[in-house]
Amino acid sequence: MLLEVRDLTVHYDSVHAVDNISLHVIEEEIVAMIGPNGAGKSTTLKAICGLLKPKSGKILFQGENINGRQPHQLVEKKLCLVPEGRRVFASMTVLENLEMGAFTINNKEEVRDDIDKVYGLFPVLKERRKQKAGTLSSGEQQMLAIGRALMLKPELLLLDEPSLGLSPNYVDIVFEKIKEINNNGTTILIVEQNARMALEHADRGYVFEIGKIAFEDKAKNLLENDEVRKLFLGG
Amino acid sequence: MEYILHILVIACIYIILTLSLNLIVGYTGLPALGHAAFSCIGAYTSSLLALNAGLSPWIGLFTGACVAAISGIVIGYPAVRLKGDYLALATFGLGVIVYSIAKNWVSLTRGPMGLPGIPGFSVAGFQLSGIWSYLLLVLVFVAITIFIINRIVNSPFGRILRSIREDEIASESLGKDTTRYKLLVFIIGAFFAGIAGSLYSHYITFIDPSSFTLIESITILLMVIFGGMGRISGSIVGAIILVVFPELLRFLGMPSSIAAPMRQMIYGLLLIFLMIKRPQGIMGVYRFK
Repeated sequence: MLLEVRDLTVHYDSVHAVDNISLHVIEEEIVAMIGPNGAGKSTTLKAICGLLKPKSGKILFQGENINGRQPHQLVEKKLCLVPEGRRVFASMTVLENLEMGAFTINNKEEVRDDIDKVYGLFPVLKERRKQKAGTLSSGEQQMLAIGRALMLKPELLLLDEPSLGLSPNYVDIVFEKIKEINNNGTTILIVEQNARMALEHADRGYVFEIGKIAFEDKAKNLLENDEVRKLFLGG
Repeated sequence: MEYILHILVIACIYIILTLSLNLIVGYTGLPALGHAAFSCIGAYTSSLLALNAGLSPWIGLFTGACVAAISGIVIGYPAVRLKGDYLALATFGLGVIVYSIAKNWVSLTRGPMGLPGIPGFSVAGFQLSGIWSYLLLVLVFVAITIFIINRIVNSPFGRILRSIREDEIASESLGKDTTRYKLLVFIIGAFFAGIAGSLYSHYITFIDPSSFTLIESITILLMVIFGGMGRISGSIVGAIILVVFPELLRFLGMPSSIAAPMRQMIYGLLLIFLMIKRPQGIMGVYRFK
């Protein structure tokens, strides 16, 4: 098991954002966390990658408790986040953004290889490598954000709302790319409002409801589950 | 002539201060309001070593800069964990504390009476007495500062600083220990501010706490914003204009009773006008958030 979350509780001041949840991710899976706004999906993701400190519970990554670690320590362990809202460095070029993701700055050849791999996955980034990231469309920015995280060579890639604010066309492309990244051997944990899209591409899913996990199953079972359909998939 | 050279020496000292603050505010995007405190620490350390221990101003300069850098650690350690406005307030607090110490620790600093008779620099046994030689000395330091800051901002380290300015969470998500980098920037900035303070004290030969008030910190910040944040040329232009411009207003030929307030008003109007017309500063590309 690559990631295991046990009895995780996270508070924002006195509000229970996530209450005593457990979940796990197995190697080479795509796991989706879906559910309505404020159900605690993003909170869980932020706790896993060290941006939030949990109140209690255990987060095991490759068997090691990583609860309370700083994000930069987790990146070294190859657990990487693509944050919500893309967050590219707008005034830097596409290439500079990718280089920011390069962890082994000293080995220039390796960095160039990694950049070429990202270009191979997202050819549009190569075309626009000298352009300022702020001038890209939101879909292209999302690809840049994902490509930048891939520069870190993650074992587990966390994606927070990758389809948020994208045109339907780009939503399709982004999910195709996520599948492709997964096929290349990266495990993926994804938080997504677009529940149908996420479940169609995931292996397993967790359905969140006000700080708890309401359902947990294979993604295709969740897609057929009447209650899940009624609540999150529009009937 | 002496007067013009004096203005130039002062402008050069401000260039060092502005460049070092630009590294913190402009390049890294940390709103810091206590820069005069670092130069105060540098100035007092250097002056006291020269007056009480008879050490050469060169040793004082270096020690002063190091003590300022250490104070940068002490202040930076808690401060860089704060964000935005809170960081500004915390560094503001630092300015108040250092000023109060300089003013009230009378047995060491002589308080408001100040420290008179601070010796000047000497190079290879020759006392730098003429103003020309001082101008040359500060120019050398300006050149060193520009060189080092330029190297810093164009290195991978500098790119991480810009990434913190652009989006700290994204930077963290890419495995950058942003807290450590912010602390480093504070230390470097404080070091150069300490050098500037020391240069000032040995040039003027007298310091008192009133040279290092909060207004002084704000003036340096103004120079950074006025010239353009995240631009080395901006800091140079900003410091020169804001030092020279008030002096030019002396020659407007107004009766002295209205000249002084008029200068302040014109100075203020210039700042308002520039911030409306060019909020990114004269040379800048990046706006204050």
